Amino acid sequence: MRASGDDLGCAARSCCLKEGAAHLTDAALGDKSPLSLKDIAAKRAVTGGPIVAEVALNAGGQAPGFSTQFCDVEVDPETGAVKILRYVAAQDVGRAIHPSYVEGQIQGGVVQGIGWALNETYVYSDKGLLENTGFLDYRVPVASDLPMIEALIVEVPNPNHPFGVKGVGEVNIVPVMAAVANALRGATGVRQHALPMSPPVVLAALDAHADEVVGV
Amino acid sequence: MAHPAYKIPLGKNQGRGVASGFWFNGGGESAVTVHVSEDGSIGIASGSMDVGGSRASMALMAAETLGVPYDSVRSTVSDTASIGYNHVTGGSRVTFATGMAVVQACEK
Repeated sequence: MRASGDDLGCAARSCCLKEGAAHLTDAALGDKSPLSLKDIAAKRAVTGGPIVAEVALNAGGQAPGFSTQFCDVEVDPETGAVKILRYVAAQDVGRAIHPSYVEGQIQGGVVQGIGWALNETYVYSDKGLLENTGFLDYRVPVASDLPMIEALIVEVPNPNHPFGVKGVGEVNIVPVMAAVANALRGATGVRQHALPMSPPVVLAALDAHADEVVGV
Repeated sequence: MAHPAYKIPLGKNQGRGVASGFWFNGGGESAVTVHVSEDGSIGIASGSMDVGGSRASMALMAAETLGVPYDSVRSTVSDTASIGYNHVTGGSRVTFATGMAVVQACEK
């Protein structure tokens, strides 16, 4: 503001920055055309030097995130393998500054949750050594395992942030295990109680409840 | 549940499950420097690593706060020796905390 004041020949408090240009707020000073940020910057070598601002803060007032999801699964009763057919995730993101990046965050979190729900676990030998040390055996979901994950952005702005932003990257991992487990219960009639719900675990549960199971 | 996919009929061995969850998110320290070059372009230097597209989001927030075109804003990531302390990129905090710092710098 000081810079624009110098250029327009008046005190800094008589200017305001609006739409990228400095406007005079005090009508008594006369009617001068607004000065764009670009014009102010071009003259700075003469009027007083570089325009710089630095802020270091400890941000507080972050808001929690909320996510509701549903999915459809299909179970192969002979192998216990679970296939995700459809996935829809709705999330309160506060304000999506860059919507396609926010959708990417939602999809990424859901994929992490699916991995946790269906596959990912450490397998230890009876000597306490980790047996699945590589990504071939510690199986994370890959694109060919999954359907298109539909991400629905809900915006309830955070009043503590100038743009209403809430954190988006982590909350979408939370409901996935429950949604997949609920879907599995619907498909098999059997409630799983431990993660991951990998094929051997599902198959064992199906066999144990063979007389009660529906739909198989 | 008004979503059309919720109504798709299910076949044999198929099931549908619904769940909701919440997560507290992180705040923490962030520092940024914003400067206006002589050609009117804006540079933003922040210390938060970009794992989810935060450089684009910083540029969008600065462009809107200053009223300049998005194309004239360049967003870079600096190291801790060059700029103030930034807490880790994680806890869903970067767009929130570093973005807040960007907007305050623009308002200065």
